[in-house]
This record gives sequence, structure tokens and C-alpha cells, in this order.
Amino acid sequence: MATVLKIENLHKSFKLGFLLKKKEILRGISLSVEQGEVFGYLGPNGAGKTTTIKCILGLIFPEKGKIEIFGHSHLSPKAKEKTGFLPENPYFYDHLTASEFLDYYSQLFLLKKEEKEEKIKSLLRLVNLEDSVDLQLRKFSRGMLQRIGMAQALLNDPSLVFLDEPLGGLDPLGRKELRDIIVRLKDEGKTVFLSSHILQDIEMICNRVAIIVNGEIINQGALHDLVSEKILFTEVVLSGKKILGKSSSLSNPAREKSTLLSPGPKPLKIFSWKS
Amino acid sequence: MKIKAIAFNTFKEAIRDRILYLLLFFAAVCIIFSRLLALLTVGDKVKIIKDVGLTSLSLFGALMAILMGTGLVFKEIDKKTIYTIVSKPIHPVGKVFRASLNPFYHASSYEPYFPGFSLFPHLHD
Repeated sequence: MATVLKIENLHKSFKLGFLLKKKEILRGISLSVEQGEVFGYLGPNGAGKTTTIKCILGLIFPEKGKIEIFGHSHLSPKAKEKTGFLPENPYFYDHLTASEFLDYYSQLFLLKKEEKEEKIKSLLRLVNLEDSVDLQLRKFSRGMLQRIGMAQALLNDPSLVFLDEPLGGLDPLGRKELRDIIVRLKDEGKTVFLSSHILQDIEMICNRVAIIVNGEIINQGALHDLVSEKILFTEVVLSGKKILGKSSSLSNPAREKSTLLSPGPKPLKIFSWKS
Repeated sequence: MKIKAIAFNTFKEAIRDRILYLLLFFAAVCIIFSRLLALLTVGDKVKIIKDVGLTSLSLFGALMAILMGTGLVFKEIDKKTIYTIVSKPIHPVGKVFRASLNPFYHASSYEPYFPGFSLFPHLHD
């Protein structure tokens, strides 16, 4: 498989505070993403996930390191023509309606009129926003904004899509809908670079994963190599209705609390042991 | 074509900005107020209406240029909408140049009608 994204020894630091104290955000990130895979970029908040994506997309400039997209420099228009980007917490031009918004972005890719109209219709269908075509984005909910953001990221039919925390702040249904879209992109053979701090999402969607902590990649590889299939611990949780001894325990809330915390008649039992 | 799309979007954003309508309302109130002021003068109604009218036009024109120009640039950076634009195949300098020219564009568009000294009409009488 061909490498679509290659990052070598990426360094980035910011000068913060009144004294412009230097803080290193990325400390020699190196990774590569192959064609057709969903690459998970996993790490806690503040690890440097968004900074890496910003460096790749040319929104900020790294101090050191090399980034290549499809063999071109990450700043070249040729590389940008084949990429799509959904930012974290997307805020778009809220004075535009959904169709105007997609029309505006499609003009930046110089799409022809017929192609543009067809693409906008199919994308609105894909993200399930056909009923909100004429609604201004300022009236959109968080989930709808995320979905229209996904639509704008796919306008140019990109081969590589960067999704920065796409499932953050969504309800379970919204998460499922977006997850389905990502899986569909995977089935269409597109490469997805997915940044998230939620392990469950990454496990469900990604083929390969890189784990970033404090600006350093501590582990990367295929998901099944990183996640042990061997069961290390077993946890059995038994729960049932609590048998109330005296009616007085119900009338006194303080006592009720103490019975739950005290070792008395336990309503819950947890057993765990090493397999 | 890309510049045209960005420029048209900026224009749309400006005319849909609520502050524009607020300023237009107050400008209209000022002009109507000049009619009331004219009643208080003895014999030189036209001068008062002309002076107050021209002054409010220039004042509100300048306010529109400053508030909308800076607001558009501020929103673009604060809401990070610029990220989705810069990540597209356009030259980032073009976008920033457009954004920075915005206040000047607005100011210059009023200039032929309301030259700077009309802020103080009594000076050129």
C-alpha cells in the first residue's frame, strides 16, 4: 500500500505567558499513514493531537520536521486538493444557510455548476440534513454543525480526510451517525486520519493507531497488536435490591446514606481476579 | 474565481450582520431628528438639516466601516472559521490580505460621497 501521509521528526513549541516561556508541544513526532486505512490518533487532552493536525494542514508552521501528503509538501495546493478537514468544535459562517455554505466551499475547489449541485445534494443526503437546506447555520444544533462540517470536508471527494475529534460532544445517536459515515468512507477506500481521546471510538473504527502523550508518540501499530486479546482481568458485578430492615431507615435520609456507605448489608458486590 | 467567492461571502456576511441594521436605524433617527432641530432655528432650516444629515451620514459610515470591518476579521479568527478556508487549496496570504483590507474597503466606499471634512461641516462653510 502506498503511503499517503508521512511525518518525520515533527517539533513544535509555543511561547506562552508574559515572559514568553517556551513550551514544547510536539517532541519529534514520526508516523506514516497508508492508503485506505482509518488511522487513529489517540491521546489525552493537551497531548498535541490538534497541534499535529494543524501542522499537517499548514495552519501553523512546525519548527523542525518534514510532512508529506501524497509525496508532495503539505503546503502545496496539490496536496490540499486531495484532503478534507473537519476541525474540532466546528464554527462556520453562521449567516449562511446549509446549501449556501456548501456552495461557498465548493467554489474554493472550482467545481463546475452541475457537478457542484449534484455533490451538494448527495452530501446533504449523506449527512441527513436534507430538511435543513434553507436553515441558517446559527440555528443548527451541535450535532447538525458536526454533520455539515463533515459534508464540507467531503466536498472535493478527498482521498485523505482529517477528522479532529469528530465524535466529541455528540449524543449516542449522533455518534453512531458520524461513525457510520466514517465506516462508509473506509469502505469507499478513502484514508481517514481520526484524532480522538475516546478509546472506544478508536477501537470500533480504526485499523492502525498511534498513541501520543505529552507530544511524543509512545506506541503505534495495528490495533490488534496494541490491544491484547488475552483477558487479563475478570470483573463480576452482582447487584440486587436492597432489603430494608426497618422502615425508619427510609424516613431518615442521613441514615439511608450511611447504610449505603457503611459495610452493613451490601447492595453490590464486586469480585475481580487475575485470569 | 476563488477570490470572487471569498469576496462575495464577506459581502454577504456584512449585509447580514445585525449591527448594520442597528446603525442604519440610529442613522435614520438622527436624520429625522435634524428636522426637529431645524424647527428651532430662525430662518436657516436647510443649513441645519444639511449639516446634521451629512454629519450623521459620515459618522455612521465611519462606524459601519470600523465595526463591521474589525468584526469580520475578529470573528474569522475567534471562531476559527479561517481554518477551514486555509486548509483548502487557496493561498493563505490572499485570505489574510482580503481580511486586512476589509475596513479600508468599507471606509473607501463611503469616501466619494462623504469626504472626511464633512464630519465637521462648519469648518468648510
